[in-house]
Amino acid sequence: MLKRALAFLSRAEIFTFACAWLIVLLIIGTLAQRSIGLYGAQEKYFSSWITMVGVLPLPGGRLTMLVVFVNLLAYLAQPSAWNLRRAGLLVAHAGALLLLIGGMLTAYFSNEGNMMIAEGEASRIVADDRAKEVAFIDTSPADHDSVLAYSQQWLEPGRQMKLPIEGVTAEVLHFYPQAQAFRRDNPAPDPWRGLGRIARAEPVLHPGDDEFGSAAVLRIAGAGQEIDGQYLLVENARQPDVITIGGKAIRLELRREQRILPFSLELIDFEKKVHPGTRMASAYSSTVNLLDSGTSRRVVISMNEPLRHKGYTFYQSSYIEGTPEITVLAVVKNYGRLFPYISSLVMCFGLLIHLAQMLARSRAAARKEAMP
Amino acid sequence: MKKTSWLLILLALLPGAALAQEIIGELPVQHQGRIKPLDTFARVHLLAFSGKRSPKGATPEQWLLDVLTHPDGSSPMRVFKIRSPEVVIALGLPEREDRLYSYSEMVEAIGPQEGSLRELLQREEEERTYVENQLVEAYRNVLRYQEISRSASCLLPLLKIEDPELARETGLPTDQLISYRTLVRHFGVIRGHLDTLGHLPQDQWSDAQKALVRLVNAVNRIQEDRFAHILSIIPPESSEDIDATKWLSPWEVVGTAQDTGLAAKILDGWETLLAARRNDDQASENEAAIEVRAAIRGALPDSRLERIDLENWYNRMDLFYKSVAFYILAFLLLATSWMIAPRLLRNTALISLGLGVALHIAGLICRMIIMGRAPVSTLYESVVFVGMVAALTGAVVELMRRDGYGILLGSIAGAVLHFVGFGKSADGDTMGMLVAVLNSNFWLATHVVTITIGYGCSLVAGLAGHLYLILRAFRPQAKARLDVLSRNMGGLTVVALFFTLFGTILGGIWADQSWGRFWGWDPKENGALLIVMWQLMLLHGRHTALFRPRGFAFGLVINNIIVALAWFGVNLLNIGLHTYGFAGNVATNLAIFCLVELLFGVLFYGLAYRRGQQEARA
Repeated sequence: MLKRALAFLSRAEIFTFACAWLIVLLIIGTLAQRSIGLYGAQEKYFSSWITMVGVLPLPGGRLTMLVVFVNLLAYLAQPSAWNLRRAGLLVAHAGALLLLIGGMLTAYFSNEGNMMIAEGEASRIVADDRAKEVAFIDTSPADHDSVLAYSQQWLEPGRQMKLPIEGVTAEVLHFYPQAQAFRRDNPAPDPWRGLGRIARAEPVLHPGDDEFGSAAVLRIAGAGQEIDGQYLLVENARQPDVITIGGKAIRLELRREQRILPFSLELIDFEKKVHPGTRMASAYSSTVNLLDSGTSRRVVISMNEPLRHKGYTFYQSSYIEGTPEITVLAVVKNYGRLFPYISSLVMCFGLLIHLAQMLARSRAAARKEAMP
Repeated sequence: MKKTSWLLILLALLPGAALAQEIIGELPVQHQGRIKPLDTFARVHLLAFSGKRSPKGATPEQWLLDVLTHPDGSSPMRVFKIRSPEVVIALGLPEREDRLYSYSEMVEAIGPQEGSLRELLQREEEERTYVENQLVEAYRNVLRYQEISRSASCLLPLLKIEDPELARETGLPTDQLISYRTLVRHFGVIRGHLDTLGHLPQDQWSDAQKALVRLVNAVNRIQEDRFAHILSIIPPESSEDIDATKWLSPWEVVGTAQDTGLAAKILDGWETLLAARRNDDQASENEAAIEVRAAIRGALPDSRLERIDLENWYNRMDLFYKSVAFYILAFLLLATSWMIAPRLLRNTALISLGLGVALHIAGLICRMIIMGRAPVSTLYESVVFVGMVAALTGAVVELMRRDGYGILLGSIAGAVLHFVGFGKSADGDTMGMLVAVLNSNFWLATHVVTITIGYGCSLVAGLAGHLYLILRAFRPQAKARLDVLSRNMGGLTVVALFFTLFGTILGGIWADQSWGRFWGWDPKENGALLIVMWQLMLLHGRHTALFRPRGFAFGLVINNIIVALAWFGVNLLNIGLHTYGFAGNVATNLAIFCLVELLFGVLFYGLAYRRGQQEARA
């Protein structure tokens, strides 16, 4: 029974069809990038389990990949595959399995963000590329700000968050991952408060290549009649709403999720080189001090020369001109990053063996034909 | 009469006669961030202006000297090619069959419309129509030409000192023309004289004063050319980092304290040279050219000089043009071999193909040495490289099989891609500098080389698919042959898959090394993955007999479309599929290619299928 199931699951037809479906997804997903943007297309077609086409639920990229994974696993689990005659194919398929495992690890356990440091300053904060958070920032203490942040998964309509004041809650009414804010013609009536009175946000459904900030609407309750009501939070708002309750001033912020690193980087110098006589950049680099538990080390991060430290990798990604200059480093934590290296070697090796075996076999066949 | 004209021709053919321009071509210039011979500089501009690398009846160097010695733009050479008749009408140019125009004709036509052209220039490329883009291109070319023509005007003998008093004071001659560079050293004296004019009304000026005003006006006219910095022919004095330091142009040096030492030596030489050229004085022109060359060569390190010389040689040899000739010859020989002397002609064809590949490789190696980087970084380079891989694969297949198919596949793929490359090279300097992220990286180099080899093998496999369908449609009885071809299709596809798969993964590794993510689903990556998936699907389908040889061959024809889309189409996706994108050359050609391949595939698959049915019935 198991044997028959295995034999069925390992059939190459499954892969052929899965492959054909992936090709379709790949074409649609790539073309869709024009209208819904690279990230949108990725979410909809490549990283989804199910992709909806109209009302029709169709397998998404992730589900198809899972099918391929199971298919591959079953192929390798079959005793008949372990045949010296097919050694090359076996090795190549094992390499492919490694690649898929690496992909899964990356999809679930990696995170990407970036760090901006101005010349002469140090930072240990990485802002996530995608995930957003709501932060309640109590600015009343004299010597520090106390921050209470709720990460992306809380940003769903209906979820209740507690403010850092007893009995005060905030309920998420709307969250738009990408939105545009507009000024209202007339001030909005109750229950709108603060920014929400003069501005409104509309979700952007087809962002194309442009990136828009996110926006959220929160309902604050339990803070008294004056304060209770609806608040509009806009990412990177110049003047976010501040509510004062019982002597505490609390700022409501919607921002990119921030992670604190166990070490910090201090930017000593950012340098941009151009090809002589042109404005075309030939190289960027940031000279930084890596400050970790009392020690300091000088490091140069440049294009194609990242800094790797404690599982994090820092790449020279961009810069902001001005005085002081600000460097933008992409920060990535990825557990699967070695898999492609290993798997490509394994697959390459396997295909070479396979090619050699094919050649040997065709030679043998030719010799046989040549014999009377 | 006849005798003398023959003598003149003979004189022109003597080795010394054209020496100066040859030397000029070898001189280095820094342009668009790269040090290159003036020969390349001239060719790149000629290509941009006229689509050809040399004007009718002249060498690129002759053209360049002609332009430099006519700062007023009066050079009669017609080098501006207008591609579409609409633009000829729009500019009000005289209609002409070859649509080639001289600079002065262009200026006259553009003059009244300059305002609107400048307006167009401000707009985004995508917002302009096809004709508008050509107008902008013509306008840009004219501006570029103007900059070149004026970049050496400070060295030309254009000024005359008429007042003997002024001549005596400055020690300059009155009987011959002098250059701005010579006069600029005596500006103090001239300014002094100018002050004596005071507020004297014009009708009270003496003859000397009138002459002075004429001189000053002429100087002011020349000074307008100051902006022309394109001809950076003066290397820095110390040769430590000759590549990363900015070189100077005549206008940046003349009249400043930098006009000493090496710079002065070079400018002296150029001044003599250009003056001699204007006076048609061959001998002193040659002498001056030799002087300039000696001065510059002394300032550059040998290793740099070798690269410049190599580039010169490369320019002159036209290796890729010769290579394409051999590919075409191989194809013709092969075609003839089907009629007569099969063995002899086929072997000759193989030799011809081999020579083509050798020249092709030689050209690629030259480029690698000149640029000091891996052979493939730009689209143009990928085209040339894929062509080489395809022709080489064809030659290898031929060596293994000896039945002419390898020659057929290799010569067609090699020649076609050469022509695509020639088309692409009109965009500018094909050895241009790269943006930061593409600069020197081991993974990038291996990735691009591997994936382009994959493209090449894929195209050869694709052509084998064509061949199979044709054979199947017209000679279905040749069973043995078809079987061998079918096996070869499989083998070629595995080889192609090996390179495309490995190249795609290496691309991911490069991305991981450079900006921290292995895969980002961007169109270029997806294009490469598409080829891999398609080939994986074909091979697995073949293994399970879902695809019989005929279907597999059809799949390989479609494979060509997918390669072309991933290679060129993805670039179009970024700039957009709106009007301009599809009016653009690449998009049209790509669409035609895909359509032709699709039609071919469907037609021949259908024919082969019908023949199969007929046979089954019989």
